[in-house]
Amino acid sequence: MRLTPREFRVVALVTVVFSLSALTYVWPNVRMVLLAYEFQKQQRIHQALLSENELLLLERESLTSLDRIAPLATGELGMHPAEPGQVITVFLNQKP
Amino acid sequence: MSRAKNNNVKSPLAGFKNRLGLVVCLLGLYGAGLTARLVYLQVVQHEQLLAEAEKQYVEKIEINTGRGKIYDRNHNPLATNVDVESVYLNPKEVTDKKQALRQLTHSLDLSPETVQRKLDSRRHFVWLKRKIALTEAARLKDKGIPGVGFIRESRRFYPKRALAASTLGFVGLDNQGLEGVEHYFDDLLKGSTRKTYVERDARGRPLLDAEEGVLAPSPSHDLELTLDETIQFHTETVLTRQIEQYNARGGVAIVMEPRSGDILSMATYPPFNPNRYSAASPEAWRNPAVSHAYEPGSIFKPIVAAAAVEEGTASPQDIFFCENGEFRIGKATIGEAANHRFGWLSLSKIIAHSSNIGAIKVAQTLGDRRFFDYIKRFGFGTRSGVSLPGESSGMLRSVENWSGLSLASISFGHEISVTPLQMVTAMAAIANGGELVKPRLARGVWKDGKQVTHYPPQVVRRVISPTTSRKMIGMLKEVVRKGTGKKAAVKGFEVAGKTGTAQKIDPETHHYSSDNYIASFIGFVPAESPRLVILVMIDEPRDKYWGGEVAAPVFSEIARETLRYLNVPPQGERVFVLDRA
Repeated sequence: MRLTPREFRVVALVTVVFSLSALTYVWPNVRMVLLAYEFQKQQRIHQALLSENELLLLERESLTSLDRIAPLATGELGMHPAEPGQVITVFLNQKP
Repeated sequence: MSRAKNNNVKSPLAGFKNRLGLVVCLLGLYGAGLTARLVYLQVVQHEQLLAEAEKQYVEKIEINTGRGKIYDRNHNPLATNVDVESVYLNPKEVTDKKQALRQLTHSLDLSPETVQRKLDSRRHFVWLKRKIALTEAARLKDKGIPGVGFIRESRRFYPKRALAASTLGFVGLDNQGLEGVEHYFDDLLKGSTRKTYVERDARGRPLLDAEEGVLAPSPSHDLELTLDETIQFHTETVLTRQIEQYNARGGVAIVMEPRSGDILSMATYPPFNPNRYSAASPEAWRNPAVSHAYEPGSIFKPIVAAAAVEEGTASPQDIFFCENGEFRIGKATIGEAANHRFGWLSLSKIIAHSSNIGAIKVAQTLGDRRFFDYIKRFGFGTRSGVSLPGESSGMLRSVENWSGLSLASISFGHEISVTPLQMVTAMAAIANGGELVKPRLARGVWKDGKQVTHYPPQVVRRVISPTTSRKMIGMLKEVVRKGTGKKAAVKGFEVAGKTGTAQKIDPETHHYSSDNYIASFIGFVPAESPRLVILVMIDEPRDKYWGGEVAAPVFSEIARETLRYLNVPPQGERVFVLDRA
């Protein structure tokens, strides 16, 4: 059974079209899976950064708590409450 | 010749066609079989096989929103969460038990007996230690002990440590609220668990596609309190200093906004750190500001006076004979504090000098029923409904059960017990023009940075008229100007208030103790336009026990610091108003 050149071209064309179609169908799925892996990786990094951020915020809150600041202010820095004559109250009138 | 030969030989094409026909038939049969099988699998067994397949690549996971945070009124965090590791063990996977015992004992600071018991367990999953410190987890992970695994959990963390601990409360190992606000708002704060399905690949890695961020937890419900971190800190600091100076057993101080009922601070002593609540005694966990009821003593006299003025049975200038310090009612003889011997006193002076006999005489003008009704109207004998668990209603006997001595005893704050919160709420009604407001501890609920629920201030009822309120303010100012509460004065402000020194019942003899007192002061400032109502109660102070000596200075210091913080300028201070334009 022999194929004429014309038939051969037809078969080749059909094969190429089929392969390309298959590739077009499969490629996005492969990309999707790869992107999902990448997304997972980025999400893990994001979570780790969020956790680190949360820890830093907690540390800041802990370090700025008044039971720590007040002894530092009075003991180490020698600060004391303002005397009555030293205070001036300024109110800002909010009306335009 | 050659033609004949050709006739005897079969055409190769004919043989090929026969074989091809056979192959086609076989392929056709194969195809038909395959099609039948496919139809069977895809159509007949479709549902069953689909379920089987989903089990392999779809996994159900639970996502917890995490416990909501608690903020003060300025959105400073008072309770938050931190991610920590919990360690578990699969004893069957441990290869070298002796080495594992040594390493786990050292890394987790556990006793060898405890670790050995867990290693000998027949289970596949045993908790070794939950919610361990980050350094402990890092140390243990480095060792890579077979059979030891880690699970990420959320741990409650109180960044301000002991600040407002008895109000905030704390949570248990599974993040369930056990005390305080944590317990009262547990349903709101505990969050929810969301179930979702995630596709996984052959190696078990999750694949996310359409539902981006499906694994990210949704925001929790956060709670905003009326407490102010700075005012709370000042209140605790001043109260603690005084309690330690007088070697007292305990104490309570409450700062409230009289118009809204907002509790700006609620300090109790002894304190405890809710991050390590098990180190404190269970007695310290409770909040005596709402769960303990005390005989209020003389700080109750303004209630008597307010009722009499409102009913018109007495006015501030009316005078009463105070029996020269000795008044017999039935078989009982009632005297004055510090053996004072007052003669004729006006109502204003009865309050200023805290005369017991004068208070009895004023209460007698009301009679049992009306006096009882006013006590109820001021909120005594009933829970205030504050957002805290374990609130006591105090003790107020029904008027039908009063003895012949009850009216007299209650008029100077005995034979009745009240919670500190009830007392401060009643004084707020006198200060704000006569309306009893519900004490408010929670301001609202936040989600994802937006307020989703607002708890507005609530007026319970009008108790006295604005006129009576003004008369009461005038009388209570005299207490601080000329009476027993001089040490409550704040420079630059007019203060109104009342001292109290209540004898405690001796639990052994069931009589009033001559050694144990509760020293208290309750008042508000600035008197004419009150911004703060403050109650200070110090339990069993030593050396001195008078409310005017022990509690009044605490009031003064808390008021001065808080008014400065709230930008309320004292008289005589330079004040500028700048126009934005």
